[in-house]
Amino acid sequence: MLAPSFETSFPPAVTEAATAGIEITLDSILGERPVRVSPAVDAPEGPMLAAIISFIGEMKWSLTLMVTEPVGVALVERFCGLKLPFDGEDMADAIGEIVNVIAGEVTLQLEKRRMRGRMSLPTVVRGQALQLIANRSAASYRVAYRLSFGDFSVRFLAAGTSLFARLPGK
Amino acid sequence: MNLKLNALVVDDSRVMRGMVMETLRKTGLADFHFVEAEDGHDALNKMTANSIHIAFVDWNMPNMTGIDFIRASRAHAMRNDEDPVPMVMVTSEKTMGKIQEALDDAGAEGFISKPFTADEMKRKVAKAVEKALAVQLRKLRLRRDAQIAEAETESKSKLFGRLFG
Repeated sequence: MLAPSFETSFPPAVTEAATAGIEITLDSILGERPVRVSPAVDAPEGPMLAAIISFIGEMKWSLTLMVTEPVGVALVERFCGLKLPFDGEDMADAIGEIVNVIAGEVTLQLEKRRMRGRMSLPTVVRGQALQLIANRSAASYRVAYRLSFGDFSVRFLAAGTSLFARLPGK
Repeated sequence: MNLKLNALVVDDSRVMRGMVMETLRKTGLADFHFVEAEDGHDALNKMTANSIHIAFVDWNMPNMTGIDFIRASRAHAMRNDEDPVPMVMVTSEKTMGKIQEALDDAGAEGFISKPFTADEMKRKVAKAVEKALAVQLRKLRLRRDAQIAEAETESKSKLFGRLFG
């Protein structure tokens, strides 16, 4: 059961598909299924990368994967077998590709739940102690995961809620 | 005969292109010589500039998607009465609709979803690689037969020259 601090305004069917997509993909890449934990209230210190990918279907929403340097380096090393410097272009490229692979599985999981989700190309942002600030009207959901080499978080955001009524599970 | 296959790897991610090439080398299916392209437009240019025998193509890319590149490439081959180059989609897309669109509508020879292992890659691209090798072998034999025929004609013409010249 998720901790009550998790935001719950996001459509549950989409949340289920998205979290399943993340967990299945990372299990497949790492041979280790990420475990859900309560998200930290404060943003982690230090350099970070955020990879964002959007979906268009019954609703428009985005998935943002946020990783710190130690987690990003370890994740990419397990993904492509290369220990890349965190501040390099290839690191951003690889994190973008990981979120792209996750998005492919999310699309499949949406389809299994009778929803559509055409995905965009990924965008990767680099910064210090990144925080994603959502508009008040945006529906959002934040989930944090633990892997053997560290924690990371994922945020789902959707602007406007008028289309949610058409979604299964809502 | 040791055939080298010129393989075009099309992906907007440099890291992923490296992973595809490394995995293909590991399969041991052929002696690949790789040419890289960043999107569908770049791939069309590289197809024209190089003698490409097989292509491994991502779906979602800027400028021109992989599926549009496959359609354009096959249309070009048809217009010019050439053998179509076998194409394999290597993509994060994995829904049945996308698989059918690639294989049945666009004419891709294979479909691999990311992430992949060397074993999966080997199993799913073997048919396309065999086809590419067969096409190349046929072209080499035709070229060799043409060279033999040309040499025979030249030799006959020299003989006639000596006898009646």
